[in-house]
Amino acid sequence: MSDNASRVDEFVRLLAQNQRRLFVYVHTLVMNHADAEEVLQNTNLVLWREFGTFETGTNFAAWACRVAFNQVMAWRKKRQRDRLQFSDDFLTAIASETHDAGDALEEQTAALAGCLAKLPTDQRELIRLRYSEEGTIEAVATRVKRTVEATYRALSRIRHTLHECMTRTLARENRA
Amino acid sequence: MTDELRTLCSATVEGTLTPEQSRRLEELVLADPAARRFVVEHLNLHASLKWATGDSTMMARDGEATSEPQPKARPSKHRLVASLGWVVAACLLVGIGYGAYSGADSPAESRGFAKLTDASGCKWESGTLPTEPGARLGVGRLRLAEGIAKLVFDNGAELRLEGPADLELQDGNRCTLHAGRLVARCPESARGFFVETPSASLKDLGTEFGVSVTDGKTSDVQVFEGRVDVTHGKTGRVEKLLTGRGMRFTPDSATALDPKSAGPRTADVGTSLLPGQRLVTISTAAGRGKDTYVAGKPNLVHSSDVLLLVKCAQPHNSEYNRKAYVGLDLTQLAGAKAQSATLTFTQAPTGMGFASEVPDSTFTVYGLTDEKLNDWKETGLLWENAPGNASGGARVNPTKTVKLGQFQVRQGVQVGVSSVSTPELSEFLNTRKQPYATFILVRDTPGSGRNDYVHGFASKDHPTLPPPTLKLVVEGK
Repeated sequence: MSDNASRVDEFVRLLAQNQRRLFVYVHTLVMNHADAEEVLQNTNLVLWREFGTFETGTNFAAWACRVAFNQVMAWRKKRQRDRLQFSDDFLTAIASETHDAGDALEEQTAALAGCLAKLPTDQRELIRLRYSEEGTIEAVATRVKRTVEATYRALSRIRHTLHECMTRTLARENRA
Repeated sequence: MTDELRTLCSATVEGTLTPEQSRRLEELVLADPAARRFVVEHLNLHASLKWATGDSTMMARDGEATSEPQPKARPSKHRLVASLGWVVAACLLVGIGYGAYSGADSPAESRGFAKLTDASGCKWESGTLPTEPGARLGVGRLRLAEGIAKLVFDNGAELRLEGPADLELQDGNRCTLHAGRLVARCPESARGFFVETPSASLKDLGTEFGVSVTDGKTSDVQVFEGRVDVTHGKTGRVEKLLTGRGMRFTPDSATALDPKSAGPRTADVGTSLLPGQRLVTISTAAGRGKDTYVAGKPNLVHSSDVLLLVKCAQPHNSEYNRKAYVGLDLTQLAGAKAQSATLTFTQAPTGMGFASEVPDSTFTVYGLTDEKLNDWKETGLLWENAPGNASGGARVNPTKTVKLGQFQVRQGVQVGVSSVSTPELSEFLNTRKQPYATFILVRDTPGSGRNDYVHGFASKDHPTLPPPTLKLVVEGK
């Protein structure tokens, strides 16, 4: 039926528009890639299942993040307690800060491409290796023929450089 | 502190955090908003970098990355394709068997299986489900008094419930319409959605249809678009109804239905008139009509000029008793015989007393048989000189009156129309020698005595509501 088709279209459009934000949100809370992908898939499934309750014109991102948060909690529950690094309190604090800082974080993320471009080529390559598929720190170290410790320190430094660049970019834009 | 936080953040994202370090990080994050923000920004960066590796515009390998900061990173091609592929798969799964998923782990959002999306202008009677727009709905009952309520099931089925109606929700794929009307629109995702009625079971096959249940047993089904399979409750026979078709299902039969031929439903006197019959309406506002009420304590009589107040108090509070007196000018009926008659009172809130302190109540209408007493005065009528009156909130003088009928008012209900339509009423009207009739309305049910509610009915002086009104089907001139 055409109505159903347009509803599917609407869902696909909204999901596509918000997939990056959802991925980043879930990843922020579970902190590693494999788990983030798993939780995101479950989230997408629930979003589709519950899409009938979503009212067109209201904030899809906010609704989706609420669903995602519940999925993160459900995922934690399924995990063994002793395998969890952080408490529920900690996670809830992180989630609510992510929510409160939402727009600022979006702007920081938007500044990321510019900051990556400013990195020296070898540093950018290190980031690419680390964040592409199978990019464990050991694999990266092997590729660049450095020790694991040195690679670790280099990646930490680069991330902090990027963080500072993004914050500076924002501060400059806000002054402008 | 920032150095410490940096170390902790790096260890977090690389997964090398020791138990001591994670305790320390929790401590900092929970105690200090600035630390919390710093950590969130760092985790956000980590996540964004992971996402960005799929985005060729951000991770240009040859150093040709765009130097302009991009306003918003677009979703990468390969992720979008992945989402699309996933949605197609999800649609198939949902289409095949939604039910398999309905019982899955439930985050707060998914409690229940439907949502009340619109209830503007709705009035509700006591059901077991929330009636606030936006409320999640699970198993339970909705009783809609008036208005149109919109419900959306999680599988996409949309119902518009038209009051007055009584709907029971069974699960995410099934509901029962006990009374009233609804229009259902079921997208493909809700294929196989069931609407049960007392006489039939409707299985939706991707469509839009209307169903109406009357008398608690007759179901009229009208398919607007698509196809509905209706199983007749008694015979088990399945009728496949396509676009434009309609059928009426009673407990014993299933017949074709032409919705255009259906007339308006008239619950009151207005059954179709036979030749020689006519409909007569007489209210207290017509001719020599009059209405007022008397109270146990005379100075309580003028607490309302537009309402007829009625109350049955506890014996020790007898001064708060109130009874309504209604006089109707029957001149129009001269020479005619009433075939049927309905006397109607329209309730209005009085704001006097607590409705919680009065249970479901019975009201009785008496006719004044002693016609010499019809000459009572609207103004200045007192408890003591009111014709046919007797002491007590519910009693009248049995030698001067006759009981004509009763109606019920549920606890807390302060508006609405109540009627008496009995053979005794017709008989009473047909045996009047004078062209006049006096009625007494009393409440049989006493309140608690703790400032209990005083019921009110519109009098002929009420600015908007109709006064006590008699409708008759008469034969003759």
